[in-house]
Amino acid sequence: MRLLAARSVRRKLQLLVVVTTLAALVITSVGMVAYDMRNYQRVWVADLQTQADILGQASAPALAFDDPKAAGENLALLKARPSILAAAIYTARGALFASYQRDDAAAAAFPAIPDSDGFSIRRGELVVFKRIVDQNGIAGTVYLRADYPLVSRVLNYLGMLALVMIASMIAALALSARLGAAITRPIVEVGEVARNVIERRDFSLRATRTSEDEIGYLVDAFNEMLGEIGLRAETLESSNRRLEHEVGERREAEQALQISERRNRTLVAAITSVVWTSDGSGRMTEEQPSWQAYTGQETARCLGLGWRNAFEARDRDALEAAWAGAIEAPGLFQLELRLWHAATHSYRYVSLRAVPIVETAGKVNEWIGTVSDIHDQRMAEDALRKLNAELERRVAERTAELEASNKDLEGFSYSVSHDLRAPVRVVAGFAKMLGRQHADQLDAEARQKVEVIQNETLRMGVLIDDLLMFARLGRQAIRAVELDMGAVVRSVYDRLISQHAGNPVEFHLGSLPAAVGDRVLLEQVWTNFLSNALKFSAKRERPVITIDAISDATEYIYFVRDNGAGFDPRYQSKLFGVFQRLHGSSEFPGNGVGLALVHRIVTRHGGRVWADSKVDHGATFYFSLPRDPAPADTQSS
Amino acid sequence: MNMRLRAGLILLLGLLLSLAAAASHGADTEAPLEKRVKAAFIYKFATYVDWPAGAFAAADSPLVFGVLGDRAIAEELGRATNGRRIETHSLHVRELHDGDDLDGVNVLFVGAGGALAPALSATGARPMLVVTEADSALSSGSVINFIIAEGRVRFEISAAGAERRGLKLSSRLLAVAYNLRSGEAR
Repeated sequence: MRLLAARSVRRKLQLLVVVTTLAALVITSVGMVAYDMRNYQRVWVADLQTQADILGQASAPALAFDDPKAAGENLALLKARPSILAAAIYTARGALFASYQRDDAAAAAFPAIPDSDGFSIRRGELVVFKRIVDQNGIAGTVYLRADYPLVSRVLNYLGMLALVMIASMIAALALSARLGAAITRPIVEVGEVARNVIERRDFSLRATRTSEDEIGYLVDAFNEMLGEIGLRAETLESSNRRLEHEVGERREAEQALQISERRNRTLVAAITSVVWTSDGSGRMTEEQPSWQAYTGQETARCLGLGWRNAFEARDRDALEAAWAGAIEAPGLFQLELRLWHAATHSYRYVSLRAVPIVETAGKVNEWIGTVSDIHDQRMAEDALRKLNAELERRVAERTAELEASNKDLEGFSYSVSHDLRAPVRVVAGFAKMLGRQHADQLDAEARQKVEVIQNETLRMGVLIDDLLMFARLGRQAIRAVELDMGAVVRSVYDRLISQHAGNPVEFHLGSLPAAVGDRVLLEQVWTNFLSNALKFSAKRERPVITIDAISDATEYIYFVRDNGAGFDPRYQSKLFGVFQRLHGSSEFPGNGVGLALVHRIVTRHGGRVWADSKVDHGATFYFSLPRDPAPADTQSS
Repeated sequence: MNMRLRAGLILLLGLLLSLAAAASHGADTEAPLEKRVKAAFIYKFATYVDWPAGAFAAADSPLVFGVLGDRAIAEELGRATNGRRIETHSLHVRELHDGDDLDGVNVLFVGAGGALAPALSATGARPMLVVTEADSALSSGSVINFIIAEGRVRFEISAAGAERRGLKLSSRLLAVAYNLRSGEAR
C-alpha cells in the first residue's frame, strides 16, 4: 500500500493492472499446473496400464505355453518406448518369467514377487503391475517401470508459464499504458491545471472535459469549484484592495491631521493678533501670552475679571453690558472698543470677538476669543466719512447755487422772450404796413425784401412763443385729468391734416389706453410728434403714420411711427435737446425746440421719451406715462 | 472382490496341484511332467481355435478331446479340463484306441502309443484339431506337433493343415509356435 500511495495515478493504474494480471495469471497457472499434473498422472498411468494389458494379452500364449523367449521378444518391443525403463512378466505362480531393461537404464532389481494390480510412484518412477487373465483365470502378471518426469515436466511447465507471464505483463503494461491513458489523461490534465492554478494563482484556468464518465463529472466539478474559488478570491482581493485603500486614506488623513495640527500650533504661537481664553463665566484662568504682550498686563492682573481693566474706562460699561448678555445667551460675541496698547502707550480701537465652547446641556465650558487691532482701519474710515460729508455738503451747496442760477436763467429767458415779443410784433406790423400801404412806391426788389422781413419776424415770433412756452413749462402746474388718448390724438390729427399739403397720408390709429395727465400739455406732445411725422414723411410718395400703444404692469407706452426720412441712431442722445436739429431747416422746417418741449412735458408727467430709427427707414417715437401718476409733481423741479 | 476371491482360490488350487505333482514326482520322475505339460497344452490349444460352422451339433454341444495311445495324457487332460468350459462348450475327454470311431472328437491327440497314419487318414479333412508328437507328423496331416527343444516341450504348427480342416488358429498361438509351416502338401 505504501507503494500505491507514493506514485502517481498513472503508475498506480499500471501497477493495478500488472498486479491484477499477475494474480490472475498465477491463479490460472496454479490451477492449470495442478490440473495438468493430475491429468498427466492419470493419462500416464492409464497409458502404462494399457501397455501392460496389451503386453499381458500378447504374452498370455507365451505364458500358457511356457515360452519365456516369446515373452522376452514381446517385452523387447518396448524399445520403441524409451520412457519405459524396465518390464517383466511373472507367471501365475509369481515367478519371473521374462524381463526387459532399457539399455542405458541403471540395472535395478526386479521385484521378487509381483504386487497386486495397481500402480505406485516412487522417486520419479512409475511402477505398474497388471494381472494377465485368460480363459483359465490368472495367467501371470506384467510389471512395468517407467520414467515419471513430473518434476521436469513441472519445471518445463513453469518455464513456459514464466514466458507467458512475462509476455502477458508486457502486453498488460502496453495495454494499460494505452488504455489507462484514457482514464489518467483527464486526471493528469486536471492535476496539471490544479498545479498551474496554485503556482500562478490564475483562477481563470479550466480543465478540458474529454470524457462523459465520472472523471468528466470530476472535471466539471473541479471547474465549477475553480470558478467559485476564483470568485471568492476576487471578492477577497477587491475587499483587500478596498481595505488597503481605506487604510491608505486613513493614513493620509492622519498625516494631514498631524500637519494641520502642527500648522495650527505654529500659527497660534506665531500669530500676532491676540488670542485669549476664559472659563464659562468670562474669567481668565491661565496665562494669556498674546493678550499680555498687547496690553502689557501682568498675569496676576489679567486673571479673573482683571482683563477688563485694560479697556478704555468709557467703553467698560458697554463691554460689561454686552458681556453679561453674551453669558446669558451664549453665541458669537463681537464688540468694537478701545484697548490699552502697551507698545504705543495709547488706547487703540480693537474688535473683540469671542465664541463659546458649548458642552453638553448648553453649558458653556470655555470662551475662545480674539482681539484684532482695527485702530488704523477705524481712523481711515472716520477720515473717509468726514470727507464724504464735506463732499455732500459742497454738492448740495453747488446744487442750490445751480438751481438758483437756473431759476434766474429761466426768469431771464422768459422776460427776454416776453420783452422780445413786443418789438418783433412792432417790426412785423410795420413791415406789413410798409408792404401793403407803400407797395406802389417800392420796386420789386424792395417788396421782396419787405416780404423777407415779414417772414423772418413771423418765424421769430413763433420761436419766441415756443421759448416762452418751454420756459413756462418749468413753472406751470400740471392739471391732471383722465384723458381719452384716442380722442385726443384724433382731434390733433384732424387739425393738423387739414393744414397739411402733400401726398395723402395713410393713417392708422390703434386703440389707445386712457391716461391721467394735463390735457393741454399732452395735446402739445401729440401735436409735436404728429407734425414731425407729417413733416418728415412728406416727401414720401405714400406716407404712412401709425399710432399705437403697449401696456405693461407699470406704464403705458405710446408710439408714433412714420415711414419718413428717419435719423441716424448715433444722434439719438441729441434728439431731445433744445435747439438741436438733425436736419437742415431748409430741408425740413423747424426750430429745434419741439422735442425738447416734449421731453420736458413727458418727464414732468413721470414718463420717459425715446426713439429709434434708421436713416431713410422711418422713425418711431415712444413716450411712456405711469399707470399711477405721482400726485406730487405739480410744481417744476 | 470376486476376482480376488477367485484368484485366491485358483492360487490355492495351483498350490494343491503343485503339491500333488511334487508327490507324484517322487514316484514317477520324468514322464509325468512331460505328460502333464502336454495335457495342459492340448487343453490350451483348444482355446486358441476358431471352429468352423458345423463343427458342433449345437452351440452347447460338448467339446470332445480324444486321446489315442497315451493313457497318462488322457488322465491328465481329464484332470486339466475337469469342470472347465471353453466358451459355451463343456469339455469331455475320451480315451481312444486304435480303430475307434473318431466321430464327435474335436481335438485328437495321437500319442506315441497310437498308430498315427491310420488315425490321420481316418480324420480326413474333418474340422478336427489333430495334435501329434511324432517327427514329420505335420506333413502327414497333423495340425500341431509336439517336439522337445532345449529340454522344453515345444510345438510346431502346420498352417496348411489347419486351413485344410477349416480351422482358424489364433495368431497368438502361432506366435508362440516353435516352428510354423505354412504350405505343406500331403
